[in-house]
Amino acid sequence: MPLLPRLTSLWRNLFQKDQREQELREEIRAHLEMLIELKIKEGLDPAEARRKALIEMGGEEQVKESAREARIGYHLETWWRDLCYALRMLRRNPGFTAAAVLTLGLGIGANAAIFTLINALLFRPPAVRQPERLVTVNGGRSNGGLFSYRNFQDYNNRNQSFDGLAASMIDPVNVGFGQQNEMAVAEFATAGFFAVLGVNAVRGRVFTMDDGLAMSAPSVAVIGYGLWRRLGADQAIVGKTIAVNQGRYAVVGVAAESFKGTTGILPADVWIPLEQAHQYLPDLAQKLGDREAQAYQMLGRLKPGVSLEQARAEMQTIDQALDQEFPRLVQAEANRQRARPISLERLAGVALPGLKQQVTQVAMMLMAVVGMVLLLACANVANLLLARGGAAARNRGAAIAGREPLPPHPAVDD
Amino acid sequence: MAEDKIDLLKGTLDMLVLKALALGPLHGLGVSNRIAQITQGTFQVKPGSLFPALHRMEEAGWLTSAWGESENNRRARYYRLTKAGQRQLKAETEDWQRISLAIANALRAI
Repeated sequence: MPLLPRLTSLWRNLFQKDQREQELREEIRAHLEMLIELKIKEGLDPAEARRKALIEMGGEEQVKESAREARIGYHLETWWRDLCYALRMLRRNPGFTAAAVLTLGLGIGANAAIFTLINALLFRPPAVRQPERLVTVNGGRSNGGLFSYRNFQDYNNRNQSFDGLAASMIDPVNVGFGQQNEMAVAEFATAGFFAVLGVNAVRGRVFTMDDGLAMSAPSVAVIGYGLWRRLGADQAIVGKTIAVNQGRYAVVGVAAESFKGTTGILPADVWIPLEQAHQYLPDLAQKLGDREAQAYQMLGRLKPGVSLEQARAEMQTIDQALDQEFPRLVQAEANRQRARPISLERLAGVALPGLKQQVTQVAMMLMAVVGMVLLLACANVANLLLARGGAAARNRGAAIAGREPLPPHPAVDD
Repeated sequence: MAEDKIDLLKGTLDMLVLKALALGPLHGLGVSNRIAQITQGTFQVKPGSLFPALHRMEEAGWLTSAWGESENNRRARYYRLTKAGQRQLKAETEDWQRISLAIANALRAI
């Protein structure tokens, strides 16, 4: 069917309603008059002709209504009329409206809140370049899926599957800038961290491999957009010094606004190259050299064309080789945890090494609970409507019995 | 009168209206009379079915309408077949002939 005439009709039906109605009325009226004339011509007297014609018509209003029903947009119009009626009734009963809105609002709000949380935890890809190629590496036997820095270096050097691996850990710190002090979360990350993630700075630059190698140079830090704002959004912050716990760091840049780090549920506020941090955090130096100090989560960027399975197989091979080279590590861990093969997961939501399954279970449970809440809210509103319906029916009954005027009904209340 | 003796098959009303208008523009009563005439009184289309059909077919683009003067100098709405309406009539006629032939054969077959 041609589209244009239908659209013009729809337009006319909706917005030139008066004219359409007028025309319809005239058309039907003319039809009736002509029918009467025809009957008179056939030899009936005028009164009888009129009676017969009216019978044949079958009710002027019914004919008009059936013609209206045939038009495009008729349902749209009745729907609109019903909507107006509904709004009018809501305005007329503020108590009922408030109760219904509040109940449904609570139900929907709870669902939205929980879903937002779950989305952030499990589904939302991190704000990085080509997030589909980023995977988290979960250490098999190691504690909570974490790795030691020494092992990270071995994985990083030996693998062929990744463009790069990065390791990081988070720590709550105190950040000082001028007179200000802020509680913040620091992410200590390997120097290649930003390169692997593909995250840029909105001001200055992110740190690179060069910063990691320059052991003697003053330590650098990249601060998060949120922290930068909390510290007064200093336009000239690049090059200035901030204090992170006891250490002092030169700010080289502010990270992109959307980037909140990758570790854990806490968004990170400041990033410091692991290789430099040990200058100021002595225990970190010890950790970096200790193959058994498994404190770092690891993630990597798959090379184009390398599948998750290929990468997993290679990482498991490296894992076994390391077991043989450093048997002491295996011994130490045998007591702690049952051995599991190393595993890879695509990065979505926040990285939760080894925790994904538990978090998913809790998330499902929460969704079910808030789903029930919404269901209850709907049931409550349905009950309210039923109660009101009952009252309205009583009024209508009283009105029909002649005690009160008939309350309006959707069909006639326009 | 054979009114309502034969229920109009779904779709046949459109075809009859198109056929009635194929001979020239008519107003509503004219269409109804023309249909009664060409079907020898078998079909008497009541206004309750006629006007919805006319309006629907106009919106489908098969008919156009305009105000005109009736035989008795009365203002009436005249309907006219469009190009699309002519095509529709041709298509429906062919369909109908195929179907009626098939049904006639089927009924004879036993």
